[in-house]
Amino acid sequence: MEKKNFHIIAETGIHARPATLLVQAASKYNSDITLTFNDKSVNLKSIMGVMSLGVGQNADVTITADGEDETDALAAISDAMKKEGLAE
Amino acid sequence: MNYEEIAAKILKNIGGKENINTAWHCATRLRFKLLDENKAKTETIENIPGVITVVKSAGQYQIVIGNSVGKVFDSLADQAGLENKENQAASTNEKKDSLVNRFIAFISGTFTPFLGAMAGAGILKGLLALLVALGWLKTTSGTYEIWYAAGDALFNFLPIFLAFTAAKRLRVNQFVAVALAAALVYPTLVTVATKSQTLHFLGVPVVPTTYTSSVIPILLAVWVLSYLQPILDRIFPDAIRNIFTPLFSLIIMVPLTLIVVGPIGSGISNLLANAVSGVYNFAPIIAGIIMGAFWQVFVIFGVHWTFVPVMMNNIAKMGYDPLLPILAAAVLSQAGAALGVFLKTKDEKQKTLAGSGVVTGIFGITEPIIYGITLKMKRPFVCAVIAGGLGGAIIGAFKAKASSFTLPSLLALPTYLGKGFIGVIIGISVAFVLAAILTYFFGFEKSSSQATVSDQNLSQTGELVTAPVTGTIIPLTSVHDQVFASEAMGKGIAIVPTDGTLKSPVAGTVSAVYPTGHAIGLISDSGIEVLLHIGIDTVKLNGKYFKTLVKKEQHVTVNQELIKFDLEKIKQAGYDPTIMLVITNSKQYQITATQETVAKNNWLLQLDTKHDH
Repeated sequence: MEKKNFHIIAETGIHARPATLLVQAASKYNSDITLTFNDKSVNLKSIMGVMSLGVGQNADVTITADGEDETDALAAISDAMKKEGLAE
Repeated sequence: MNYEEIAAKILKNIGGKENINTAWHCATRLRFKLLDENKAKTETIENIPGVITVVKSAGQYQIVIGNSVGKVFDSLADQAGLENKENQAASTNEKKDSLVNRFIAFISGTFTPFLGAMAGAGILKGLLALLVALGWLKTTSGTYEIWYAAGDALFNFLPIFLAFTAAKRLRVNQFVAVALAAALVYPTLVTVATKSQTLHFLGVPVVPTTYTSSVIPILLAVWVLSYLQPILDRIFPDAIRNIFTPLFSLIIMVPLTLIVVGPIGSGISNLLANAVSGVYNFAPIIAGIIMGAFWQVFVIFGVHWTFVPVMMNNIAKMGYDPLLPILAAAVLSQAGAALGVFLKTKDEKQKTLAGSGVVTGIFGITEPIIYGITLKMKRPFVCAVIAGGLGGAIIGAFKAKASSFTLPSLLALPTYLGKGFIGVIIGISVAFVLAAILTYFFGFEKSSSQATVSDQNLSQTGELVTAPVTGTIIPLTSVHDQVFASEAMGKGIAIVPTDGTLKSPVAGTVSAVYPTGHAIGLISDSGIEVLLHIGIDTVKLNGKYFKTLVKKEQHVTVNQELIKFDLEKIKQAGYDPTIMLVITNSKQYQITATQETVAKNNWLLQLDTKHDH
């Protein structure tokens, strides 16, 4: 199991467009991937779950990947976060 | 909006009037058949203020305008010098056509969910009749009685089934509708009707009518209920609504249906029966044509009932009835039409239904055929009418007689023995064969098979997602936001709103609310994940002009108000107000989208759970 913390810098937080891309990125991998915010965890492969967390600017979140391709998964998600300007 | 300007710009960018083959419009879209679609500059047209989007489908080039499409069309027709007559005819045909079409589509739609059951029950009835005719089973035996009940119950209590499906379509309380239907066929009322006693309700006479096996009366009643229920819901507070709305629905609707529908139906029925009998007396061929052609139409409207006493009376007085044999032509013409469909159609489901229809039709049961195939497809029904009329004319000409009262079918032939029997044989053969031939060659239209595909998709009892707001419906793929239009978030549909209240499209729980109020997530009670997003990029408004009325985890009912937004101010601020409805777990479903283009309290999407193969 691997995890990584992110600090959200995007003004509108994890919203529609970036949320979709994150979910798409996560869904490519077999590992179970969760997004945790304020002690609430959701499946990062479900848009509904991600958006229901309501992650806004300046939020601190943790993404956990558990499975064979956990390392690759986390790397890809990190990339996506940076590309979308969600986190540094 | 300057309609002339919009029309002029459209005309210019669509390749000019020379490129227009035909042009007409519906409630929200301009529809063109262009000679060369490549000549149309779609991007430019989409950017014309007043144009919502361009949709290319069904061989048409459609420009979505919204409510004022009529005015744009008129100006366009003027400027292009389109022949007014032709286009007026085209748009009024669409309207007239729509009313009849919608009526037929509604009727056949209420039957589709239980067509299989009806066809099965029909076959059982037919088999029983066959066994009795062969002498293998006696009508007095318990075996027969029980199996007869098994097969006939569906037809006898048909209004109950129809109430259930019609209520679902019209978004009315299904159980209230069923209670209403059950009241119409309630045993004591049925006895009263068969004894022709007149009841009085608060002093108003209730003409006895038999509602068993009828179609139109219950559909009318449920339709009225769809207007009554919202009114009652508004009157009664939440706490007592669950009980009081049904209570008053029943108090009002049952007597209303019995008092209003009954007399109308009986009146028409009486008129018809007497008229046709009269006609038979001086021109049997003409009576033959009328009965042979239109008997099934009478059955649909439930006005065939008073023919029965007339026929039984004839048998009692004269020992025979001349009208019954003619009906055999009507029945077998439907069977023939079913055969035509069976031979011609490539659709597996339709083939099976048609095939079973031929069998049940030969045994005299035509409901599965009529409501499952011929009426729905319209042309086969017309073919059956023509063939039936011809067959009936022949039978009438030969003055055939029925010596006892039996369900008209191939099995009833023994009752037609005697003078004129040859006429019956010829007549029903003509009816059957001609209907089959006509249907085979003329019964299919390219567009009708398109319509039946979407009709058949509605045959499953899938979940319906209704319109959350009023406005113009456009495909999700046409919205001006790549993330949504690419369907990356899931499949769905979009509406360009004309009012500022977002209502819940499903019954379920609020899974996500946003401080900015421009979006909301719901999970329906059955697990459908619905994301509603008001406007494009409206997150940037940071909550201005939006007011969320519900909380996370709150349970909501269909049409419950979720968000109020200021449509005008949002548009003035330069934002596209299109509302996107996305099913974020759409991979689990087979989604059928509505063919309508105007959203107002109707369903938008039907979701059928995909089964793993």
